Amino acid sequence: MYHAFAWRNVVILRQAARPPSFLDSARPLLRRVVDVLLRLLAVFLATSLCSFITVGQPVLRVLYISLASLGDFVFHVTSFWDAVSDLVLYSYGLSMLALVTAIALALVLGVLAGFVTGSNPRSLLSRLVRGLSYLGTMTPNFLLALFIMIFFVLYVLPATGIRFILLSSSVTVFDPRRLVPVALTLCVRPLAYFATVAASATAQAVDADYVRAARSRGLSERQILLYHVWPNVLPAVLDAIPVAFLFSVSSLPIVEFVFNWPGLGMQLLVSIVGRPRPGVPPAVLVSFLLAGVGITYILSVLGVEALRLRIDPRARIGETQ
Amino acid sequence: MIGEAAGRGQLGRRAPGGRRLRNVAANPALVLGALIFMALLATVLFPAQLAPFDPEEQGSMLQKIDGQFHTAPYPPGPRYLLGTDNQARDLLSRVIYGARHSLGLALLVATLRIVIGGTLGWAAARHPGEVRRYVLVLASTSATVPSLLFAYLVIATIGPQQGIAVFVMGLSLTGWAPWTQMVFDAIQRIRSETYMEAAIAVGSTARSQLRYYFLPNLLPVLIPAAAQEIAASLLIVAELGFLGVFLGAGHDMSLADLLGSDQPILSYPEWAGMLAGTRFEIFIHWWLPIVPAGAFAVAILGLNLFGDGLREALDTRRHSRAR
Repeated sequence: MYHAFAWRNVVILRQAARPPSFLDSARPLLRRVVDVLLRLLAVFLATSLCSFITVGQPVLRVLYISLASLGDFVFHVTSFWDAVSDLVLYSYGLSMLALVTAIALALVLGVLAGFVTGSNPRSLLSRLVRGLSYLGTMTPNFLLALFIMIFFVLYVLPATGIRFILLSSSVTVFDPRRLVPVALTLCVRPLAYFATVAASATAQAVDADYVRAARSRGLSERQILLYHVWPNVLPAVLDAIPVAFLFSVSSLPIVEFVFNWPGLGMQLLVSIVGRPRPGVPPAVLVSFLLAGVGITYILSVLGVEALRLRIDPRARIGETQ
Repeated sequence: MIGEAAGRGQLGRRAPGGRRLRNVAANPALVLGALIFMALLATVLFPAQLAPFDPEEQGSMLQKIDGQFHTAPYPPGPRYLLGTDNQARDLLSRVIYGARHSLGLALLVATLRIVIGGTLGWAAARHPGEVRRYVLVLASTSATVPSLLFAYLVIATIGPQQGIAVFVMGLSLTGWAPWTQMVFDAIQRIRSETYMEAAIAVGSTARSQLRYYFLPNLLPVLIPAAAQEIAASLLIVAELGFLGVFLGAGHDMSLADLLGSDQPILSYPEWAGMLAGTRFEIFIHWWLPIVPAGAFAVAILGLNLFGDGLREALDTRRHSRAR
């Protein structure tokens, strides 16, 4: 009995130790893909129903019109998609550009700050980083956007003579100076979040027995941080990416609105109160744009899970068991 | 009886008065958060005593400032500490009077989110199997819908002029998912504790389990989170205001309300309404967006600090480790 148990553990550990094949990592992912696709369908239908609701009429009529419009949308989804696909894809592309830039920036700066803070938690720098992270997670986005605008326009421009940001909607959006303020504002909350997560994971890892054992073996501090602490911080950071993405997505409408960036968030706001494409109900555009947000979030979760399965042996053991 | 004493949660344990005071003094987040919380409470309860002017009182539209004549809005100065709006009304007084509406709305939304999320979390913990599965799937689905967009969609579609019920509905239909997860996790954790096994073994009734085990162990987790939920609701109210959706709006939302630069006419002072239409004012009359946004920021910071401070104060396991 004991041998069977021990042998099972050896098999598990061997499986965990070898690099996973594509099928190994794909199997649990496929299960989840089906699960999340069902959820996505639910979100899609629920948001569509909400956006098709018309008010100011008797309840039964409202229900009838909403369900009929939703049914019309579901049955003619391809022709509606043909009518708005260019607008949806254009705004989606712009938002993804801003989001990826912001999250990449936040990941590099936040993890670095968190790692330094967590490895030396009592230093003045660590306290400063902790305080700034706390403020960063709580400051309203529009206030941050206004401060960034004021900082660049009223202080940096007169001091350096260089126009680092452009706010006019007449300038092409592919001018990088239009991307700078959007990405900077979007990256603040994820940056603070990454710094907090990385700091707490690093502080936990630094106190762990294996680090004490590594020190007693006489390893240098650099070796300990790189080969013992960092591999244990990385999974926590990876897990934080979808949450940070959700932070940024929820700030997207307000930030794009402030800086006139014609991305997904701005397009959503305009579609809800206006009719950007004649002949197409606003609700159709809203549904497609919201579906874009949902799909991207789910893809980011799945991407992070696949990455985690690849690099974290504990996750592979969990999946095998 | 022994089980009850052991299971009684953090709220049930009483530290001696002196130690309790020392614990509070060593918790700057709680002190600062409580101060801001009290100040907010005072503005909600006694606006007439605190405000220097009537919020609707208009000053003269032409005033001499630093030897030069200016038209409203006037910048912050000795007479108007936070400046005035376009109709020469004191912004400080309007912020003080507006706290009641903005904080009241945030409180209502947070309460409804807590009730919806908490009830579903309790149901998921109470009924394993299909109910639990569906509730948790519903919660994780709801968590992927951005609250701001959903609220904007609902309120702009139905019309902000329909009143507070539309705001409460639009803001509370999402944002409850973390509460479901939190209550579900907390109940599962409490159930797995040894004192619960002991209580069940000695035949404790469902009512006494709730009274002596669940509530005392749930409340220290839920009370700090409730303060932070009010802050989260307030943040969305602020963002909606910036987008031109606010309590007391007189008509349906239109594209001009979203993209326009005109400040709307408000039927009563409210922080979100004061933010509407101020996007382009930042380089000319900076105090118009900064004053209401600052009020929101201070309230959000205070509530979050208060929540964090309470969490630390109620975490007796941490205190016992420290001792």
